[in-house]
Amino acid sequence: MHGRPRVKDVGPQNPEKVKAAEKKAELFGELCRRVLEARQQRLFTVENLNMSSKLLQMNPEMYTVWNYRREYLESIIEKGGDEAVAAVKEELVVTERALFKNPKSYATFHHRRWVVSSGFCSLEHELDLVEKLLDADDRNFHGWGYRRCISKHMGLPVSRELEYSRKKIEQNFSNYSAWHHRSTLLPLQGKEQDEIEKSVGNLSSKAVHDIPLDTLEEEFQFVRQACYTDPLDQSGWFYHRWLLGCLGQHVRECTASQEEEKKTRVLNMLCDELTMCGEIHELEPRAKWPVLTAIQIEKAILHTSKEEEIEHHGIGKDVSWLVDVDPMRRNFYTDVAEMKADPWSIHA
Amino acid sequence: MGQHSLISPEKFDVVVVGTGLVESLIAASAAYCGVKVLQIDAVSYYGGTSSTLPCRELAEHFKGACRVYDAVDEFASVLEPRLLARALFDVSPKVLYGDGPLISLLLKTGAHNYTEFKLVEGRLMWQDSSSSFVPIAASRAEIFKDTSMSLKQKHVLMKTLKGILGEEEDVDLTGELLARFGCDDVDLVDRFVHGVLLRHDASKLSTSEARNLVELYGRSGGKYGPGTGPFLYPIHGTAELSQAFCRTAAVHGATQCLRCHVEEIRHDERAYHIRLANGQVIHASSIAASQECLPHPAPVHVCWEKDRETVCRCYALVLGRVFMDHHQCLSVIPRGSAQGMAVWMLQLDDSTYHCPSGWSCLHVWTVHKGNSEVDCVAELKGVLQRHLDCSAIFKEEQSPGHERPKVAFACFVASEGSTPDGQSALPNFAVCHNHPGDVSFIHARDEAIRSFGIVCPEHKFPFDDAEIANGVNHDEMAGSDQEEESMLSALEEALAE
Repeated sequence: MHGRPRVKDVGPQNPEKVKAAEKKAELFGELCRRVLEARQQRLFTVENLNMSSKLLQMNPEMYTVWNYRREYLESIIEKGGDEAVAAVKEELVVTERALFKNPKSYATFHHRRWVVSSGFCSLEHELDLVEKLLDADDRNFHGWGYRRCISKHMGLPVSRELEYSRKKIEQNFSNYSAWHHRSTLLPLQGKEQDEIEKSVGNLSSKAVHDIPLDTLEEEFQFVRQACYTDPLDQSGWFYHRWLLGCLGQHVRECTASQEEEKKTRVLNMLCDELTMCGEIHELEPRAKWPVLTAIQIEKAILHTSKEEEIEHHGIGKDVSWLVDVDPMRRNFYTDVAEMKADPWSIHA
Repeated sequence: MGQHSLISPEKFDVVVVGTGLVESLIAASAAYCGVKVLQIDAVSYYGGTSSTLPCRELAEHFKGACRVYDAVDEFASVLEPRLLARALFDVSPKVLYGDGPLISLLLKTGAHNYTEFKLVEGRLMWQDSSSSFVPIAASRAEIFKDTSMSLKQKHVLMKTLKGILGEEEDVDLTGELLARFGCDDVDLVDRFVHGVLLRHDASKLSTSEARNLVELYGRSGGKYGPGTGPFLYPIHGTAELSQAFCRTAAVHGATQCLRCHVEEIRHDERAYHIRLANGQVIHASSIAASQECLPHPAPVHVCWEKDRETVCRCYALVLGRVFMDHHQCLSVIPRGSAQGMAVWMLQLDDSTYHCPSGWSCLHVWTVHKGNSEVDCVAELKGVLQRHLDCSAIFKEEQSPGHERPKVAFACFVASEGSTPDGQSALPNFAVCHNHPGDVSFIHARDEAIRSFGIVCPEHKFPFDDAEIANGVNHDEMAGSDQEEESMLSALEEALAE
């Protein structure tokens, strides 16, 4: 789980083991010292590089040692040619070994991305590998991030990536990463390749309002399956929240450009979602997400159509119900009630 | 065809009569414990009630107690009858759970080296409301993906599965209990009872059994790759499983002899004396015999439950496939038989080497409740004619309707489907039951263990806690100690350079 230190089973200390561990620490320290000294002196001998790769196999988090290898590789890759290809191949092997040991290492993935961006290796192969990684653990967010990086380099069509995320979600919809993947892709749908490159993976909220309402409806249909199948599972509801935020952006746009028809359609979509929350609350009264979502939608609708021109049916519960069920987050719920934030920051 | 030679020696600790799956498991376990085992069967092939046979040899297996409709010759223009007649049928087709007791036994005995499986691709249920077969969704991911249930139904089914898993009391599984989870519409109950639990109905099932089945289903799904189903089927048919365990028995010293017909079993204080058809008498301290292999009159009297059940089967050789989207497919038609019981259809084809390409072997069966004589053809005819073109075999005009694949051969059989209630007490004599009506091999291991306990009371069943054979998991077992050592030596090596 995130944020918790890995704890090994601590039994009575075996004196032999303690001695071995001390020896290991000593040797490890010596190895580190040698490699770091070599770096200081900018010595890139074969022995030092081999030591560094062994070191990284044992502890891939030492990003200074990865830096050392990058300093060495920079010049080789610049020269290009067969030597660059061989060096890149070797480097991929080193990172692979490190990933076997710890597939969730920030430093290793960073290094691999750097290596791959040099362009001297097969991106198809990388895609294959990341697919295997995600088959083994579909919730490894490093893998998903890496996949986004590779698919951007390759210029993969957005539809292919959407298909992949759908496949993963169908295998197990308790997967924040897979849902999140969709949220990065939808704004890019229908855009030209060079526009996508400019976006550099960071999408401003402006891009979100470009998502056509038809697409949003399809996404609502899709995530609805998760909400009904297991209302207690957060992953679907989180994505649902993001979709509501997209609708919010649409309303802002519509209000600014005075497109009344579109605004009505969006408000109707919100009412549909509100009805869904009500239905799910009836089926599963203990679930807090339908109630929280309903309250937020209600507030948003009231804020937009002050004259109550849109008919909607609330869930009949207010924030005090949430505070009862989930006292740990009572301050958050109170803020929601007082609408301290912009009502359309449902996704905030 | 008579027995060729005399068996030597003539005295054994355990004699196993029959080469069905349960008997072969007993023979393998006993032999593994060092017990002197003789395993015999009256016929010339291994498999017993789990045999896999060419269609034209089914009648002999059932000793003529079946009805055969053979129109293979009429399809000579499509395929030579000689080749078509090689199509194989499983006498008692059953699926294996991917993470079930039988898989675990195969691994532990090493018998997995002799077997190969396919994942059962299709799992379908007939839905009256849509007049079509719909996929059975029974795991979280399957329910999410399903398009044949309403959103509310998805929620209720998921809730029912979770509810059964969380049910602490062990009570009878009833309609009222299911209704507690909101599971009261017929479609959902069908999906749960037939699709998840693989039961003919919810009778005689406790919540703890149901919980085990739901857990097993959940563990088995996706075990062999993301998105794969929970059931396996042996390539070349179920006889492969019996044969694999027979091989294991032989490897550990058991003697096996086919074409050994048992005429009589006598008993005195010293031992059992088994007289074979060729006159030879074999002596044994214990006997394990499959019900079907007992001689007449039987030395043991088996008691049956008051409410009898008959399994009605049809083995149909089909040109083409009923289930077009899948090679192997297990489907169920709730209330499909004449009596209104569920009808199962298991489709196998060339992908498991059951028949030539372009054809399929459809195994159809249902359970009939009651003590009266059953007409198998009448029980299954409705379902067959609805989904197949039976004009060639029944010599009747086919009722109009959609295009249906033609049946070239069909064999109908009725067999005992009840569970024995007990047997008269003869020491060290186990009558093993093969659960003919079951859709999966779920009961096989327990039955083998039970019988093993009777014939080898001084031994513990050897394959419960044994390490998995052939080093499949040794890497995991080595543990972190080896890791630490190898790291230490790697460090020393690195510094030495």
